[in-house]
Amino acid sequence: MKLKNYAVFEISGLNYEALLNKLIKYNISTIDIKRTTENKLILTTENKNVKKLIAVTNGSCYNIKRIKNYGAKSTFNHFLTHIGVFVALVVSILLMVVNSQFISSVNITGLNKIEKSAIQEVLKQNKAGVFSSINSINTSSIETALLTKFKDLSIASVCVKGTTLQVNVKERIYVDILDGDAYNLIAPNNCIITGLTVTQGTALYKVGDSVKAGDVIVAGYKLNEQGEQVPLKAVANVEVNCFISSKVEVGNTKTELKRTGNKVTKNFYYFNNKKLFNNNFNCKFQFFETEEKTTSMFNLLPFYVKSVTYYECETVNIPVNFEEQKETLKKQLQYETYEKIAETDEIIAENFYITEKNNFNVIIFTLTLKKTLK
Amino acid sequence: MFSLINEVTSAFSIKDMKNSAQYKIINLGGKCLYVQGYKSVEKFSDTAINLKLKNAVMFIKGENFSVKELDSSSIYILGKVKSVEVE
Repeated sequence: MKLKNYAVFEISGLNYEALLNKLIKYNISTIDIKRTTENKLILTTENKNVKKLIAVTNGSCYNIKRIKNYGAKSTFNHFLTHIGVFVALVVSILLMVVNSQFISSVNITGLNKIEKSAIQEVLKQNKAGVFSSINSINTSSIETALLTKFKDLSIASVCVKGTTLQVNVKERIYVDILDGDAYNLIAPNNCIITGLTVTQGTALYKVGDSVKAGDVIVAGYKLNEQGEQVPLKAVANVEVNCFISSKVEVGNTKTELKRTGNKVTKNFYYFNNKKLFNNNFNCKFQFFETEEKTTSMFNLLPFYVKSVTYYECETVNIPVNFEEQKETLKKQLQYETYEKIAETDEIIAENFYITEKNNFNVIIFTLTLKKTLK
Repeated sequence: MFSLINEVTSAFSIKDMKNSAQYKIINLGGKCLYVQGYKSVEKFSDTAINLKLKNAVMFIKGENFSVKELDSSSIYILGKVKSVEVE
């Protein structure tokens, strides 16, 4: 806004060159001179030159008309003639300044069991409420008062945002306290934790950790304010990928007994199932097989002879064709592993691992299950 | 205070150039024209402005002329300046 005050004139007539020369002659400085049409000229001059301009154009063939004023003084004069606008502006500014110093609303969030009116009562006691002065509100003392009065609150936060008093609280979640033993959540198999949400208890592992069968994933305790362990039942939702496996080892050779051709036969006599002639016989063959044959000596009497033939054997190593047995062994392993799982278990992967170690072929079959432990 | 015209006239070192009766022109990009040392306005329209000098006449031709400022010794002309001739 220009500080000097200017007046804009529209001049109708002819021979504007003579007008301009008159302005030059009488030292009337003008700005923004534009010939809008053939017989209309617009020019601007300072307010102090207005009288001179009018005097110069007086009596000449010009029609002069003031069309606009501008400048700081003009604006002020405009306000003086439109006093209502001026007053409204001043009152608005005053109200805005005053209003920003006071609380206009109170917002309380996080309540569940505690009544809102109870919180408002505490605010009122601490002189914090609607229309309270913002400068007089001590947020930390209000937080202390809330936590002192309501033992069920675990967190209380008070702040002023603009002209709103924001109160955020969080109520305690009470756990089942048990007398005696704690209840832990234990891993049933070797597994990897894929999800863990603890409602009560203390988590000893985190998502991504591997645990063995029997490891405690969520312990049945929590620490009180003194740092002591309080036993309780571990309640959590644990998602794991379990690994159930079976293994078989097959040697490259197997040992069998083969008869050499040597044999010894010994007879034992029995009467009424009782051995006669206590003649114990120790076979001298290192490895042997036996065949028995019982013969009744007299048909009517319980008298019989048992002939035992000892065939000498020797151990023979026979090479094992692993490839021929592999499929059978795999099916057997699958069957054994499936027997270990429940029908409701969700299988997400099956894998065979075949390795050779120390002249043994080892086949391992592993099932990966997705389980939820609760 | 720095004066472009004084600087330029000093650089030329011509004695009578410092005389304020001599006309001086500054043309800024063909969009603004400053003329100092004219006597009167002979013609004023939006396509032509003629200024009377001490011993000559300046013919300024162009388009959309308006006078930004006018006083007894200088004139500031706005518009598309096509030619300036002094005869």
